Amino acid sequence: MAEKPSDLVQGTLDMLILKTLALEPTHGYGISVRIEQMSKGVFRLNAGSLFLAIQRLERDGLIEGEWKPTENNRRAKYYALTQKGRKRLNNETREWGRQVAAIARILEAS
Amino acid sequence: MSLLRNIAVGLRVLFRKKQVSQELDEELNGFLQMAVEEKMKQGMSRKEAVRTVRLERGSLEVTKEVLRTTGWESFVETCWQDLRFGVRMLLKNPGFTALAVLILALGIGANAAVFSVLHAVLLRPLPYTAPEQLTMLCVTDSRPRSWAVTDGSTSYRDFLEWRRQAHTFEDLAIFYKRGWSVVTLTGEEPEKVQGAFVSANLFTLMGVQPLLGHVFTEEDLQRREHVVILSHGLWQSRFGGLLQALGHDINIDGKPWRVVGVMPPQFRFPFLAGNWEDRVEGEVQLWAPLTTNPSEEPSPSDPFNLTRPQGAARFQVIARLNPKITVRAAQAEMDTIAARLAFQYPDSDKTLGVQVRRLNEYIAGEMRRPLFLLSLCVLLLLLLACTNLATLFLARGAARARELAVRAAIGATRWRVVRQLLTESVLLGIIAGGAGALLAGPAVHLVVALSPLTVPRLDETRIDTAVLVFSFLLALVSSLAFGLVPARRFSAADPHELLKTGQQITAASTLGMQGLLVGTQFALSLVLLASASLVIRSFVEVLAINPGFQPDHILTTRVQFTNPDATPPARMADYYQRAWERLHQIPGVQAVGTVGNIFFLEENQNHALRQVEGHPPEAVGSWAPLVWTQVSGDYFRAMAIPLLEGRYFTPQDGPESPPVAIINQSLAERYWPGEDPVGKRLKGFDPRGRNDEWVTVVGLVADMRSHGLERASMAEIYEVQAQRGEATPNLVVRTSADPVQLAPTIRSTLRSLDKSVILSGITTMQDVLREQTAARRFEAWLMGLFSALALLLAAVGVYGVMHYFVTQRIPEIGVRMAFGACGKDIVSLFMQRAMRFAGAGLAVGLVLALWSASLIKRMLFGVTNTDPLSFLGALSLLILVALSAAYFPARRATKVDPMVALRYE
Repeated sequence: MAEKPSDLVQGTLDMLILKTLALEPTHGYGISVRIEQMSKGVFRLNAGSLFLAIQRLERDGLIEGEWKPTENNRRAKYYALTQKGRKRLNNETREWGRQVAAIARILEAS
Repeated sequence: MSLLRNIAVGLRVLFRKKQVSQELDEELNGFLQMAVEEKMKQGMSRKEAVRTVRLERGSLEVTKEVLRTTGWESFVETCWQDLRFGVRMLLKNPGFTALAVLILALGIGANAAVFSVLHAVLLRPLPYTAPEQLTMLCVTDSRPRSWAVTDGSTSYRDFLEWRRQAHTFEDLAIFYKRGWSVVTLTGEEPEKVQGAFVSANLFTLMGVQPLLGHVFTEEDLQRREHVVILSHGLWQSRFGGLLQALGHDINIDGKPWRVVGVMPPQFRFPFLAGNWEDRVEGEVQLWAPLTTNPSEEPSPSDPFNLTRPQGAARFQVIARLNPKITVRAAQAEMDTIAARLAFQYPDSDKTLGVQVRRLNEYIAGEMRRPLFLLSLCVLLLLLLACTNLATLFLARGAARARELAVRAAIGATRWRVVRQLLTESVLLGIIAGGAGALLAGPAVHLVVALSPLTVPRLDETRIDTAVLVFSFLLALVSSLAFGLVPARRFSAADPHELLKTGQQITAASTLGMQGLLVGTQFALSLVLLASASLVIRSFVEVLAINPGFQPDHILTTRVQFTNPDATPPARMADYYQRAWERLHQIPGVQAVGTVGNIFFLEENQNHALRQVEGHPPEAVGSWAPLVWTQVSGDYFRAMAIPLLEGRYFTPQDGPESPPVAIINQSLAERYWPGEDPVGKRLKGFDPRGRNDEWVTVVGLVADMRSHGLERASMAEIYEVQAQRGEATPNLVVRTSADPVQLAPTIRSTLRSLDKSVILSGITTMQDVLREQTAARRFEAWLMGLFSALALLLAAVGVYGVMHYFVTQRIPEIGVRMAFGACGKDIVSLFMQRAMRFAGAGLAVGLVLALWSASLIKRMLFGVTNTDPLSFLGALSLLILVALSAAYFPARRATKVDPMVALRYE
């Protein structure tokens, strides 16, 4: 098997992709660029983990792909959030917030 | 939803592979292009940009591979690849494949056949509603045999008590077969049909509906109505399956009975008991209300003969458990009730208990143990086949070690290699399972043909879905079992080592495993072979028993009067006399006689003579089985039972002359040891209480094995039919020529004497005896067959291993020969090796065989369970097999040309 992203990334990558697509449907490269920009370069995705995550999300019915022409007149597969994906994103965001707050409290206590 | 989507996506990948792959390529290329363009915008050259993107984003080829292997569909795809590869491998080596399929098919076929028998006899639900709730309530008796109730029957009074007190049952019903075994349906030729008397609720309790008409009502019972329900078979044969049968009369024992119902074809009840007599008489073909037995005239105040001692305990009880009540709970309740009744009726019930038995177990009866033993044997055989295949696959796998090493070296995971090897063995297993299921058909025929008549429901044996599913599962499990050993072995090998040094290292290391497997085969074969030898020797011992008469050249048949209870003794005596005279005139007939019973095969109760002149009464403790029977004509001459003292009966021993008897040796030794019994006088223990005359012993004859060949002779007293007046239905004719040829003449002569007598089929006495040994013949045949198969498998196993072993060591042999070893040394080298495997297995096998022989101790006859001949015989046979199976490959080794062998290296 190819290299696996660490657990943290594995867990959060899906959420990040969903968040990215919540703003606007885009293609694989678009997702990676947006995540890179928004994280100010902290996360740089390699193609393997990105497409693996996309494939997984698509199979779970959280996102949907559609072939469309790009601005450079190329064909690319654009992904959009489904109803189910939007619900999942909300849940995960809330859960994430709860966990981060909890971890922060623990760290501040010491 | 997402599962469905997952399946849909997977299917799309599988079936539109090209398109999906193109799309993936396009998407990933697009990704690469966009990234490169981005970099180029930042001022890099194209070449530089491509390099940077690769570094940052990883190789696209790897990505593609990762994406391709994640879904379930990729698993299916590789399985398909494995399967195609497996088929190619099997086809490449057709001899090996055929051998492997044959071995496994034999194992699976034998198991499928035995399973189908087991399924028919024990497992298949009985054709009644919710049959798992049906139980039989059988009376047990702790008294000594002379008094005890032995057939599980109960009295009507106890039945009523059970029904009143028991709450674990939905309902209880009673029936009985005894007392009315001969029924005549007077059509063209009288016929003997078994009937059962049943309570009104029996059919309802069993949940069966008649095909036509209705079942009995309580009123039928109360009014003692002469109504009858017919079996489907009887309806077909007597009424041609016509609807008009309903309401019509049928003539039974000379009286008209009205047909009120016809049962469906699959309805059988009660099932035949496991004894031979019962089998001969055939299935129950009609049912009548409990109260209508014509040979009984109960008083209105006592409709069920509660008070008559003989009439008391004869009812069989069937009960339906309440839903969700276990047999154990019902048993507990019946124990309490039995204890209460024992207290309430100490005279009759003090020693009685009740056993609750499931109906299917009750019906299978004593066949359960031999059947389980049989299944154990075939499972052992399958285990043997699997071990054998594991050896063969191991041997072949070693030859493929290089291929597997290459696979591992270019990145196949261990699991992947195991999967590929297992696919091959499962493929083989499934082919063998199919072949085995095909073999099972003829095998079932063989089993049914060989089996004794006395197995209930055996005739219902079919190869049905359950059997097919069983064979398939067996094939799957066994192929995994024999595939796993080599698969584990080879996938664990270090590819480095293997590719570096060639095959020798694996060869040596697999040899230990193969030795173990061959040893196991020899151990199992010894167990089967030794047990078979014991069983076969028992059978031979039984065949060698002197029955006490000469069974060759005897024909026997049964002649019965249509209504024996209403036939005057004088008429019987007259018929026997005329039959004797007429049959004597047939050329080739030497002696003719009739007898009440030739054999008493059931458990006989202990009895004593009522009085023996000059002896005190015999203490109950020393009672032993004792039987009376009547003879007429030249019975002893016809049977060739030797006369030791005194005389045979003569025509002068008639109703007017003083009563006489002939006794056998056992009786003489019991009452007059060392004395001449002729002239001594005795009185019978006559339960009818009508004989109080002294009977004079006029002759002493040799014992015959009337209690069954395997049991010691019983004390027997023969009386003259003309003096006693009972029916002597068994006709015995001794012929000088082949008895079978005289059978038609004898039959037509008997028929011409009296049109109304019922003639059973004529058989030779040898066939009658053969029937008595049928169970043993069955066991001996099957065990012999199994052990022959085991022997064959063991031989194939050791041959395969040695063959492979020799092939592996050709270079070594070359070196040895080059240094001057001669052929004999080489042969002995390999023979020693083979004997080491086999020897260890045989040592373990001997212990196992001794243990399993002690398990079947009770089945043996005339041999001890440690019979040295059987064990040494089996042992030496297996050693011989090991030696010869090793010899041929070893000799091949000596043909090796040292030059060729060394060049090989």
